[in-house]
Amino acid sequence: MIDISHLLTPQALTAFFQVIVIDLVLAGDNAVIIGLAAAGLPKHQRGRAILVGILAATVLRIAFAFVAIELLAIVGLLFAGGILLLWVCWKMWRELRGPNGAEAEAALSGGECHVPQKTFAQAAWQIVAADVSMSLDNVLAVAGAARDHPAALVFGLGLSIVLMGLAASLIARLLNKHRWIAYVGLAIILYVAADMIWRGFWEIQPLLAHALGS
Amino acid sequence: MTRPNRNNHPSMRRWRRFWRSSRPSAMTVLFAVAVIGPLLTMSLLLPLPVVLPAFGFWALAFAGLMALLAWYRPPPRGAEDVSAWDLAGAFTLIGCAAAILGEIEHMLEFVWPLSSKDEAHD
Repeated sequence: MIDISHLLTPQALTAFFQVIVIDLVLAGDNAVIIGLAAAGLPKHQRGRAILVGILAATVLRIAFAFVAIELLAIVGLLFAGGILLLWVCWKMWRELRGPNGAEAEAALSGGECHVPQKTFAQAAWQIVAADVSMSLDNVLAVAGAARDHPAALVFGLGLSIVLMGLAASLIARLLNKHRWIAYVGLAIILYVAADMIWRGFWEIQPLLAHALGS
Repeated sequence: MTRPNRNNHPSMRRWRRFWRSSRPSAMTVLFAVAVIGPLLTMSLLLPLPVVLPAFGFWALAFAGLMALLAWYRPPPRGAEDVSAWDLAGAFTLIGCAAAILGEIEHMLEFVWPLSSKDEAHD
């Protein structure tokens, strides 16, 4: 029989709730980007895109969690992740303002929403690329809090997956009706990318200074 | 002598027309109250660094409530007005943004002060 007494100690419960709180917060950026990417798809493909996004985020988080210690040792990974996310932001910006700019303008001025259409593959690639960078950031944050409580890590991950799916579908539904709000979502993701680049830069700054100095 | 009916005055009719066209829907009022009320209360009662993360949790909880409401009483198809689904989406986005912008460490520090955290990790 499985002994769960060690899970009910005050220390384990504290770690448990901490990981849940952190996971809930860190699921937010994934939910926004999945919702943003899925909003440009026809209704019957939206559910599939959200599922792809959640599956990709889950697989990546589990894979990254296994090698979290090794990842922490790689200098510049956070910076690269930030650049990748910035590229996703640029692609989304071009979709909003690009060939279908007139339709986006119509949505902005409160007119009928004819969402700029994209293919399922385009949306899936955007979601997966964003998931790579954000899951990396998330795992590194949670790995520090969970420490000796892998059960808390697994539960937090499961909960964040469920919430990510619910949040992404609510956001996608909103953006499909009020497309101009996509700019707000894009601004949030841009902030996440800038924050990752900023923190990543300070990681590589000593190495850069050393390389330039020598 | 009968008093003139002031309600039928053209200026009053114009005003009523303007009021009807610009009157915010119940959902818009609910949105404003659900944002401003808790934000004011939290900024008065909580330490400043905790306000944003706490508001994020409130917004996500309210979004869940609105989603449940929309699930049980779905708005008419193709309705132009702001619906409970819209509020659920807007509060989800607000909650995610507040959670991302607010430093979660302050929240954890507030709920589990440093001493108990140290005990937890020992």
